[in-house]
Amino acid sequence: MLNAYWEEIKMKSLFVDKEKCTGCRRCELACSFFHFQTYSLGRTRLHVVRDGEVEGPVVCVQCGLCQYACPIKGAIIRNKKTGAFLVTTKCNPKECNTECVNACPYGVIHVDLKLKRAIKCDFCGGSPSCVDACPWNVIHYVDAGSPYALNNKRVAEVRRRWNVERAYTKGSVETLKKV
Amino acid sequence: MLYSYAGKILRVNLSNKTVKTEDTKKDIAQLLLGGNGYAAKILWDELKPGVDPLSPENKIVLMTGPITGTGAPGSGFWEACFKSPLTGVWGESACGGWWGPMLKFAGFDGIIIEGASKDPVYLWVHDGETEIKPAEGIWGQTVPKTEELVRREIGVPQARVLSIGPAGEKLVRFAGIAVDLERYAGRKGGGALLGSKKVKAVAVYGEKEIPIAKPAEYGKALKECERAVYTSLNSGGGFPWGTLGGYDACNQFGDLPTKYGETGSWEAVSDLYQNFVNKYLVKNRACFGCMQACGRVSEVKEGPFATPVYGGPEYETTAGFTTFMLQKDIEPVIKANYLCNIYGLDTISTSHMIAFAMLCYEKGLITTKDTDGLEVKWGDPDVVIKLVEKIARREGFGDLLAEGVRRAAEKIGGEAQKIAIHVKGLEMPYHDPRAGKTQAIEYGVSNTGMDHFHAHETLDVECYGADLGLIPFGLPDPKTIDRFSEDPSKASIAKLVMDWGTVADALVICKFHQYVNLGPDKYAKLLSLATGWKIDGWELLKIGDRIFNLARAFNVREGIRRKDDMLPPRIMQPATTGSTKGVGITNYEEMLNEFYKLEEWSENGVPKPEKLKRLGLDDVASYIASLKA
Repeated sequence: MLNAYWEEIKMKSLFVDKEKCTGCRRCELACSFFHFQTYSLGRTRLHVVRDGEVEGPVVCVQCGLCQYACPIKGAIIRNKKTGAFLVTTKCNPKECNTECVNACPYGVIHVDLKLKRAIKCDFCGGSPSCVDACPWNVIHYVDAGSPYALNNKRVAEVRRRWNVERAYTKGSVETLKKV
Repeated sequence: MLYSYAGKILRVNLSNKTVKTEDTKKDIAQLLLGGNGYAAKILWDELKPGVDPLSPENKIVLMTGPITGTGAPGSGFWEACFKSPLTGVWGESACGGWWGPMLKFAGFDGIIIEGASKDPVYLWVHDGETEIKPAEGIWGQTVPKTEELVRREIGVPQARVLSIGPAGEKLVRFAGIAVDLERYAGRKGGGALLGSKKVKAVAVYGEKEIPIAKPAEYGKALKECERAVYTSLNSGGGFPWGTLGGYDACNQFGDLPTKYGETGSWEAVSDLYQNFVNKYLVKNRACFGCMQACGRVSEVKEGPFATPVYGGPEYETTAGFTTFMLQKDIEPVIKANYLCNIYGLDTISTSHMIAFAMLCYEKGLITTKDTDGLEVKWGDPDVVIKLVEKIARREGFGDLLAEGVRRAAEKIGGEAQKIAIHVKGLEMPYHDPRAGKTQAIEYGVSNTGMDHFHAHETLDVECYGADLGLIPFGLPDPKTIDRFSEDPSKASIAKLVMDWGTVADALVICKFHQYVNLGPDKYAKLLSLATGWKIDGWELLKIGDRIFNLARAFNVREGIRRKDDMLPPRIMQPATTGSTKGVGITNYEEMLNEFYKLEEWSENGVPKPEKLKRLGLDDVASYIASLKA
């Protein structure tokens, strides 16, 4: 059933290649800048986490559990164009127990203290700024359900190849952007 | 309103356990930006001349800059400034990681730590509040363990932790300050200073915003800078090879000090970098907001030098633990780097001291009696690992080495003092001044001592063709510069590059971003849009000049004169191998004279009061005028 939905609206989703993440957090800065014209780690809709030596961005997968948990009708709706779940102005944390925050399995929805309502990933309306900002192309905006995730092996291979070439050549930068 | 600054500076007095917040002063910020500039002003005003660096009267200033945490390229840095326990003069150390921006998000531009605590403590700074907490049970732990324990105790897993290791606690004079496991403000003994104040860690967390004067335009300018970085071919610190990627090039240029500075290249290590990449490299790691990710994560899976997955060695560490001590494998380097990281040691000074011990042993200045029975032969990896541990714990022979090369050479006596390579007491890092002569000037006049990064590594211009975006500001095309020439005109190159390097530490940006098409004009634009002031590239360079002279005045107050700007004889002798074979440094004094002339310093190396006045440093000028030449 879900597949049918994806086909109908051609939904895309964020795919994360954790192996490549260097932990620079430019995605978070780009996110807060796009939405609030500010640079703040407290107002981002995705989070780079680091646990020991493993790190990577945690992004919203648009599962919709927040909508399911939300007690206020119309506070979280689904955008027909992108398939993203959006928080509307009807959201009012004073009237609820922030069920959405508790429901989120990834911790990527939270109440913004200045805006006084929940904020979550909205795909920036169709061209996510985190994808654009990532210097290492860790975050991809790809067709939902596509077999992109299988490409991890290819990524590892390409990385090995740069190191063999290793010269400061012009091509390397482009290769890097393509991976 | 002070845009792009957090607006508050924290003052922690450990003697009476009080915490005060002060406003960031706009006039100082406009004159000296932040970072080393702001800290230099604080230390100039508040430190008494001649104070013992490890006494409670000394202060350490941990500063961020105006564009820290704003997403500007390389803006994830922070600066530690203090009077150095190693050199006794101006000490500053820059460091990346996530800690600096987090301090700003917590609402502070900087922390001044003064006095000394009787019992070990750590600081917990969060959202404008500060707590001084007892560090019982944490004192004595290694760096990774400290971070884990502090995070568990404060209960905020996303907090960033600055800490010192056991080496800092034992007052090893070149102990560093660690943040985020493996990022180090390593040099000049900041760790020992925190150790003397009994500060084990400073944890910060905050979610404040940094106000930007013109956000929309700033975002646009930032995009331009990003594009400049991506299209740059000269990624000096750069991705995806890291600093170690330049290892082979340094070897070819004779820029890789070998056998305690006897020469500048060694054939035996030509495949070392490739070996590292193929077998031990796990991934790249970036500091906050960085597009280059020069940091390495490495692992040695098995064998006597096995390490867990941890921050790997960069260029300086590798050069120090290989060619400098004639050791040709990468595995002991990774192990030694890992040990230095968890114990809180500066890898440059540590490897320098071990190589120094090897040379002294070869010359018979020390024997197995002095070294606790260790045969300290050139390039023995087991000895290296043992000595790292001994230095970190100040055990036996390690106690002598932990004093730094100047003090150790004095104690050993005799020829040792002649062969020791240091300026102002700071050990030489691993760039050979014979390979490019502006580097000789920089090593001599740098305010921190023999330092390759404060003010700047001028060698990169001559050897590797980096223009640092300075061509519109009067730098000759790097391709046309003869790197072996000792013409006095080299002083003008050195001055320009060093002014730009100094102001980078005031903006508190990573200097690797100067290599990638980002010159003073680009950063001036970012700074103007962020702060709302009108600053151009020339003004930035002038601020660099101002800070450099302020720090020099600080040193003059501590008794530094021309005699302290001299290079050690061993590094001026002709090298014996490679592309620098037969090249020595012969005309140093003349280059130095020209540099003094450009800086408007007296023949004895004291800045002239007129110049200081012109730079807007009136109180400094009147102090200098009261000195007897």
